[in-house]
Amino acid sequence: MMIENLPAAILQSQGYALFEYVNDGLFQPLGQPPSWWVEISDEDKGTEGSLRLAERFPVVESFLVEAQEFWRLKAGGWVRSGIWMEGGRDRRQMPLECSALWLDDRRLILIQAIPLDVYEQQHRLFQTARQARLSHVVELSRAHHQIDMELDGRKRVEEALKQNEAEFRMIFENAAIGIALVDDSGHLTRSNRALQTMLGYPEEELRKLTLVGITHPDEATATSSLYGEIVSGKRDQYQTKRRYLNKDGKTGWARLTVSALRQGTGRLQSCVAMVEDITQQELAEQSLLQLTGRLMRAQEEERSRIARELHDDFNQRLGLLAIELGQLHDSLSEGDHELMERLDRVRQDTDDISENVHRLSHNLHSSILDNLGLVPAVRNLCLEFSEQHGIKVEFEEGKVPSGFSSEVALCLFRIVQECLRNVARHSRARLARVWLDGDRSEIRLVVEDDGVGFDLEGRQGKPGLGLISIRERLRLVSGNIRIRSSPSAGTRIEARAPLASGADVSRLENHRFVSAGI
Amino acid sequence: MLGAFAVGKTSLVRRFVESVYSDSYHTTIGVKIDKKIIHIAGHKEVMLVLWDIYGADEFQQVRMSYLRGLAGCLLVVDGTRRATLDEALAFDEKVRDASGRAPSVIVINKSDLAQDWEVEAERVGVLEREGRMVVRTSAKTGEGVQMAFHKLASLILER
Repeated sequence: MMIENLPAAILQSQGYALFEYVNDGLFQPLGQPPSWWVEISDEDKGTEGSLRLAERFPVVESFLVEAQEFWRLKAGGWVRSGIWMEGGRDRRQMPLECSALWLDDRRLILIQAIPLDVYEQQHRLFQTARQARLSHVVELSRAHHQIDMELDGRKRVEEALKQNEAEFRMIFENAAIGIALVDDSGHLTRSNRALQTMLGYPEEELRKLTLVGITHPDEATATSSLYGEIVSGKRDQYQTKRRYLNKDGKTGWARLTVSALRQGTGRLQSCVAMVEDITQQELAEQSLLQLTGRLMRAQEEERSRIARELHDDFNQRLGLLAIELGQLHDSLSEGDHELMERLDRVRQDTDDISENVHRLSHNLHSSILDNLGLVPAVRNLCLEFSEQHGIKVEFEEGKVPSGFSSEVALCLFRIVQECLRNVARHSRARLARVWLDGDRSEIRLVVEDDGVGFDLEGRQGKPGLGLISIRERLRLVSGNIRIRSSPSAGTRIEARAPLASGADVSRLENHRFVSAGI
Repeated sequence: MLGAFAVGKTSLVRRFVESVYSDSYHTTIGVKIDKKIIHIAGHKEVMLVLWDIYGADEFQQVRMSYLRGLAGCLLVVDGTRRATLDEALAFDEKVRDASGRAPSVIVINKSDLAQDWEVEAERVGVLEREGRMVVRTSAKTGEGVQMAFHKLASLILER
């Protein structure tokens, strides 16, 4: 088909402006331009002569690169620029499209004004489709954003958990005290280096052992019972002192704290056992206790010796002196009244000194305690105290068990002495009460008065020597003391001492630890 | 003007050229050519020929011929749609293939909706540290619009 054969009327009716590319960006118009051309063309003289279309239309300039390539290939058909909007002289936007053709060895450009109804129809289609897509994209984007936020939140939680886990691991691994995780069967599922070193087992072997298994056999039942209470939910924590056995069979001492880790439902997840090795401390305490015991015994022996000296020597000699004074008195004649009176006074003083020495001897060492036992000794002490100080002391005897050691008897006797001495010195009491009682396991002593009392809080920090002595004495017999006092409300001191002795003392000591929640 | 559909390319041009803004979305078909003369310090008047190219999607793909010979481009991003930043950066790659290293400015539009932005400040910071020019704009309020076009013009003139 020859280009000259294309009817100009057809081209005009289709809205085409037709140009032939000459060279160097020059185009030669072919035929009559369509009516719209005048609106957008800068050429007042229409299409006569060559035109530089690319200068007028930037899109055509860009499109020419594509068109040149198309013409070089001399291929059939055409290439199109795509629609662009061009402002006319009245600034009205006009949709145009450019096509390149290779026809009869000629390079042709057709510019078409897209009919507005066609353009608007296409625009409506695109607008509807894109608006729908936009809503979809926005919703999708919001959903993604929400998911990202949740993922970020989860990531932050995971990071926090990781950090907590790392911190826990660091504390767990590097703690100076032994730590183990214990399952509901009591097995040590995880342990730290300190515990492994303390017990002498590697972690793999510790996993096969239980809390009861590493406890000294004498204390296994107590451990089993307390741990059972944790598992059953009866308690969430306990602290106690325990003897443990290491891999070599040696015994050590530990302060044990067991805490339950429970799920939200209250079900036991695991337990954390914190095991502080106090073997050295315990050994030191035991040495100190033994030393204190030896000192106390030495003191008692010395008191006993001095009491004997006072009783057997001084008092006997004073007695003889009194007799001699009496004989001297009797030998005087009736007329020596003045001398007789002086001798009477001297003899009376000698009797008083003898009585004081006797009391001192008795206080230093009670022969009643040695010969008749605790109850008569305390009863006598109360009587003597009343007479000496003019303070009424009521003594009551409950079911005092028999079979307690002389150490316990002496301990309680000395406590009564110390307490009554305090009543006389500080209490301003009119009445004191001493009560001895007990059962098959312990003996109890209560000393109370109606005196001025004292501020217990103020005294707890620095107890007087008397109280220290009482505590030390009780410690030696594994006993304990409870003091209740407040200003103007009297004082009550309760001392308890176990009847058991020797090997049983440590068990009772543990019992005391648990009871006191230490 | 390059970017995903509905990021506000046409609105930015209208704000820049005509100082007007419309809230309603009006999709672009093909290319809309606009011109504006601006003054750049140290230069005489510069005429910007603005090609407002339709947003690419499954209905219309941007023709590579549009990208050939461009002097520079504004890569427009909708701050409330994170994916549009990825699309803008993909355009940047295409521009590089078609026109070499033409200067570009990343325009994060819709700063009036900053509370709904999905484009993370960290990511913008990374782009800035990489030497990319980033301008936050709002075609609605006009914030940053002049700066974006002037910055691009300056970059083009500096080449």
